[in-house]
Amino acid sequence: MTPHYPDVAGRDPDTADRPDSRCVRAVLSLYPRRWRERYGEEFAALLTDMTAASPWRAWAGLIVDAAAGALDARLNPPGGSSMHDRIRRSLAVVACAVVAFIIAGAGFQKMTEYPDFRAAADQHAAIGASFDILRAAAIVAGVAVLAGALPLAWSVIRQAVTARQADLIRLLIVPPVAVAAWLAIVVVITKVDRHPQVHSAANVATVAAIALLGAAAAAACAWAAVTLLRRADFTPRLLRPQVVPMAVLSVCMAVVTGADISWGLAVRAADGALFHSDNGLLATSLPPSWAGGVVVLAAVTVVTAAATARAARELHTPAQ
Amino acid sequence: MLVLASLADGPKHGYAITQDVAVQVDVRLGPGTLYGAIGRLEERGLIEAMPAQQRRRPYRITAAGAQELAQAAARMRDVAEFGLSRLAAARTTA
Repeated sequence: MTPHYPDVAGRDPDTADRPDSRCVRAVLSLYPRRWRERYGEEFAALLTDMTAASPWRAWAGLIVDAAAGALDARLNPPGGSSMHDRIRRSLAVVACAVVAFIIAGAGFQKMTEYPDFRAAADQHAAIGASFDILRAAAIVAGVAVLAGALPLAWSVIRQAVTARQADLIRLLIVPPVAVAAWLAIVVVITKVDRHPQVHSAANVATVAAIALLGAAAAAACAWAAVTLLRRADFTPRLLRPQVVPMAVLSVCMAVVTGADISWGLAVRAADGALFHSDNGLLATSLPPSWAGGVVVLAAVTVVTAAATARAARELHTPAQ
Repeated sequence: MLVLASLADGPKHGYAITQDVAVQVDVRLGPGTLYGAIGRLEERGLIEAMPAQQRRRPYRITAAGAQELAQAAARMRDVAEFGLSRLAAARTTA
């Protein structure tokens, strides 16, 4: 039997006045969602009891202490620093890196679709080989992403159906809907303007609009992936093998980055005029478009490799 | 340590712990401080939650928690005895 304690003002905590429940709710909202799910109700009861029983100066101290506790809970979430949560965070980082990788890859594809580049790839072995290696590595990277993502997606579907968590299904639907909507817009635009002048202002504006919408779709995909990885329950058995596709993806990204560098250098060596032409993204000069793509690819490679290394280290850390 | 000591004589919910600690050792535990400690002790398996009673959830000390408390209290007792004995010796020689 739990002993029953009156509050400091001699009132029963069960019947004590609630002087400012809005303030208690506001303080509670500072805590992370998981913490609130676990401790929220009892913490709110405690805070209500303590503030009801305190003079205003002590009341302010209680609120400050509760707010400081929120910071502590965010820095050290309950059970939030387990090995599998850290792998989950690494996966979220990789999901965002994949989105950036796809954008950079699409940019490269768009940039190299002009006949001049195809002809250069046919005529110069170094350009052609770089292009082929880049494409092959990108395909393997795509397979690795699918190998990692499909088991997680299947687990989310099962969880959403068995636990009737419609929000998970909604999040799962976001990426295909965002991509499908973007593709539909692209199809409509290309059907309306069948033979655009490549460097015309109208065409540049159209491509810029398509790119912006694509970026918005990519951002929606990244947000959905990160939110799913945070909300859904994944078993250790499902999370641990994720390190393998992450490692394959890291290697593929490194190969793609190297091939992109090699491609640009080969184009410059073989055809200086083509390299300095305005066949870059949005009809701009090629070198900045190429260099920008290389920087993005290198950055996502480093980020993915670091997240993979962190996840791999977690597997070798003894469970606490 | 204070939370473990408070729970050593039986389960208590958060408010009861703050009252007990205030009465016994005149330390006012704030709500954030208390639940930070509760979270860490629970994670380490030194205390465990019991079924909630209305909005309050009592906690009780586990066997591991009792052992940890006993060891920590013994260390503190040794430190206190060491300090007091040195003070007594200094007074004698003065």
